[in-house]
Amino acid sequence: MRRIIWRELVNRKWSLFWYCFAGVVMLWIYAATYKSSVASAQQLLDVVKTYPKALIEAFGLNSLTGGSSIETYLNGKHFSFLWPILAIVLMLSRAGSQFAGEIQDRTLGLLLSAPIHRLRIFVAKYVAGLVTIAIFAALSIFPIVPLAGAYGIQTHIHILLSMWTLSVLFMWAVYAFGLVLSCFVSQSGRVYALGAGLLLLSYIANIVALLDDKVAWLKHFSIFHYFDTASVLSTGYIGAHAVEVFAAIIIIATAVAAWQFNRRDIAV
Amino acid sequence: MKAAIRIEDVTKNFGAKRALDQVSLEVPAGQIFGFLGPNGAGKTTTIRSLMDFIRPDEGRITVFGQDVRDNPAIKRDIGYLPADLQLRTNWMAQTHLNFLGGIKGGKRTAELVRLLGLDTGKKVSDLSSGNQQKLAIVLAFLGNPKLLILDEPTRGLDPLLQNQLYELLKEFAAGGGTVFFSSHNLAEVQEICDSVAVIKEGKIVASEAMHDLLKLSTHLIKAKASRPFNLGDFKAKDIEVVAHEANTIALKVSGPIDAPIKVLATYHLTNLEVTHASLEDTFMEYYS
Repeated sequence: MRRIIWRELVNRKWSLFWYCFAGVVMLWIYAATYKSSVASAQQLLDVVKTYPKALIEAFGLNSLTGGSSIETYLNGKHFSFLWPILAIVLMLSRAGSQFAGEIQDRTLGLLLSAPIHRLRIFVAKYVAGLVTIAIFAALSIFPIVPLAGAYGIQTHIHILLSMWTLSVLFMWAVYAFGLVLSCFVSQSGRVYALGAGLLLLSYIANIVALLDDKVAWLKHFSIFHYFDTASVLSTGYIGAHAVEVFAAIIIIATAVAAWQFNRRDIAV
Repeated sequence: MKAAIRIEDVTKNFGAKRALDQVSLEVPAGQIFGFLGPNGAGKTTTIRSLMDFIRPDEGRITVFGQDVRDNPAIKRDIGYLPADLQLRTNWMAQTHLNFLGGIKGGKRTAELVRLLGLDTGKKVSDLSSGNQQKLAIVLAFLGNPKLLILDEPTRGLDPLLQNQLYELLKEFAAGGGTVFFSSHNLAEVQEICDSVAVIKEGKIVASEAMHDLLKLSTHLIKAKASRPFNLGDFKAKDIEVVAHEANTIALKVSGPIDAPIKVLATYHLTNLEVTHASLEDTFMEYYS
């Protein structure tokens, strides 16, 4: 099984490298611009104050003002929008290519013809996916410590550790959800389209819930409601409810994906 | 003789289409077994079911007495060559050999690579289709398989390499190995197979030892006599007059030929030619 895990990681090393590279470069830009941004924070704060309260909450604009720390600044600039896009694209492409993509290219036959139970193949690919998550989450968060240090900015490691934990949970949930799609269809393009479409709906549900109190209940159906980076990056605390929801999504989606992969026809 | 493969009443539907319909087949160990059928007849579905890639709706498949689904470790004894190659274009040929060899074992790999003249240092995307097929053949022989399941293995190979593969398969069977071998090339099946099964529209329509199948098959009889033939003498269920011109006649006979020969002998023949039908003729009979 270690051989399969290793090959999975080696096969997709360049895509992971470029995603991590993009994450590090963005952190570098934010570290470099933090001090000047804080200096002009008051002007920005005055502008943001004129926006409707719901709009400020919906788009995390309250942290655009620079915040009291580099972490809250990163939330406004990075973790509330750009980072989730990067993470979602990485996870859906990984989940889509691991099963549906390999069925489409027929390369899964190489593994299926080997004397390995299907569930072990699933577990090996899954573990490779988790390693990818851990690496990307780490390399898109922790480099802020030396980068900020280089500009004389103080960071809070316990907050970054909480952010890494929340990021892993979020990416893991998206990955598990992507695997469900990947184990039901036979073309990676369908996984990307369906996955992106459903996540976009989930994002819109969260925005609508924040903008209109009458449909506030919608937020509970959005994964983005539980990915509360503003709270984690300002307090370092992850709500127990968010952990429970992510854990439930991960467990249920993983079980469904494994069950489907083990029972389905694979015409390769 | 012990069965290497036993397929019992296997049915597989893809939506409304029935791909396999109560297919039953037994492949004796130590034989080269040919599996014939036109496109869409169910050959590849049968092979994918054998490899547990697709799961039958009904019936049971065992390899060396074991259910492949319950016991995937049995695939250690199976070498598989698919009709559509399952190679990773961004891997080198050697990467494939190392990867699968690491799982199944790599006995004879170097010998086969040398024998087939495969360049293992190239990426699959840089290999010609023939060389990709060679790599797939080496992968099928990796480890120490007792059974080879080959779906159109000579596709894309030049005649020289086809012959090399025939020799490899004969050598493998002579060493006690079993080969289950699907092909469109009837001449090669006739040349190397001990037994053959024919599948048509998802049903097995014949499964015989090669010599029995050919024995049962059609004969073509051409005769010339000193007087005209009376067509009425050749009216029988198994006899078809395919050509008739004055003192010559050509008959296609399904089954025993002694009856038409006795009739022909009454005509004071000046020439008689009896041709044994080829597997191709037999195959066409099943599909006509």
